[in-house]
Amino acid sequence: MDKETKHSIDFINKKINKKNGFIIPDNYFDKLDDDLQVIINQNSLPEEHNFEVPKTYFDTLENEILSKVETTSSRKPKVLLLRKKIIQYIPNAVAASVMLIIASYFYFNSNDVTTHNFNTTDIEDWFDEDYNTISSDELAILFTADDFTEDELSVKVNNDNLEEYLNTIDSSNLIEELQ
Amino acid sequence: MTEEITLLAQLQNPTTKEVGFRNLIQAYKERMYWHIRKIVISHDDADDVLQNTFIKIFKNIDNFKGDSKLYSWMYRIATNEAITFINKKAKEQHQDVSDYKHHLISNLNSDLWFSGDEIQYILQQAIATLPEKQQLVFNMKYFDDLKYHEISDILSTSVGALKASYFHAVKKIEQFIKTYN
Repeated sequence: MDKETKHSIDFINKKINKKNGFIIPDNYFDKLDDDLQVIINQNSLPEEHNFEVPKTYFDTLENEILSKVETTSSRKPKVLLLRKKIIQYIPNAVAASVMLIIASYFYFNSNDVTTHNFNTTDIEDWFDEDYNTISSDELAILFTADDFTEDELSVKVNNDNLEEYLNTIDSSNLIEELQ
Repeated sequence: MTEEITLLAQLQNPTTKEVGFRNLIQAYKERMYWHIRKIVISHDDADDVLQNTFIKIFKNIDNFKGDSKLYSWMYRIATNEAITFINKKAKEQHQDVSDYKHHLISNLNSDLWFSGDEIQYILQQAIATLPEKQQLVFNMKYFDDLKYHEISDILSTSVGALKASYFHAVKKIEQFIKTYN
């Protein structure tokens, strides 16, 4: 038997020379050490988590879940009928269509560009209310020189008033403003 | 043998267990890997089984009685892990284990981690036709160069029975190669 075995082994050797063709990724065995170290560290961690539950928690849990399941399943599911749903929306759809037709009629039959006429009072009101938001460019567009009298444009200040005004001003504020 | 005794002493002392385990992996990882790989065929599966094997060794090292060599004991764990793994895989696929092994071999040519030529592919097919015990004996004797008494320790089979298994295995493989090559 040994002789026959040797004969067969010689034949296999000649054919394949003890190579099985299996290969492994580069550095596989180096990486293996690290992988195993991680696993060992994991295994050395305590398995108990130290969280506590109330004593009878697991005894009552089953019944509690079942009661909820039963309550949920006993409720009749709400059935929405497509026909009913469509009928419900018909008045809204009709109203929307009518509005659309009327709006289209006015829109397509009106070539006038809407104009608004403002009187001076309106402008003055607007100026008083929105003073802070008006830029000088806007003012220039709104008013011409004819809109003002000479008196309105001239500055008349007597010396006493000017002196009094200057006395009220804090000099440090004035310096800051000038800077 | 001296190396084994030193390793065992390290492993069974809680303060040196981790260092000892690192040394054990260093010493045996390649031999263990190739033994497993020849049973499970795919590299990824071999990697999984190898890691599980070492974890099992780490967890059970305190139960090692020393009535066999450490090396044989580890080989036995690796063999059991690999066979259990492949049986489980076959079951998942609803296949007989030998059919599953044939299926693995037939996919070898598209396996990234198989670089064998036609004759090496035929050899793997030939091995897959053998009964499980003969496959193990052939791989351990032919590729791993283990002695009969070492294989006997690992597989708990008499040397005489192993010689007979090996004889039948090589005869069938020779015949298979002659037929298909």
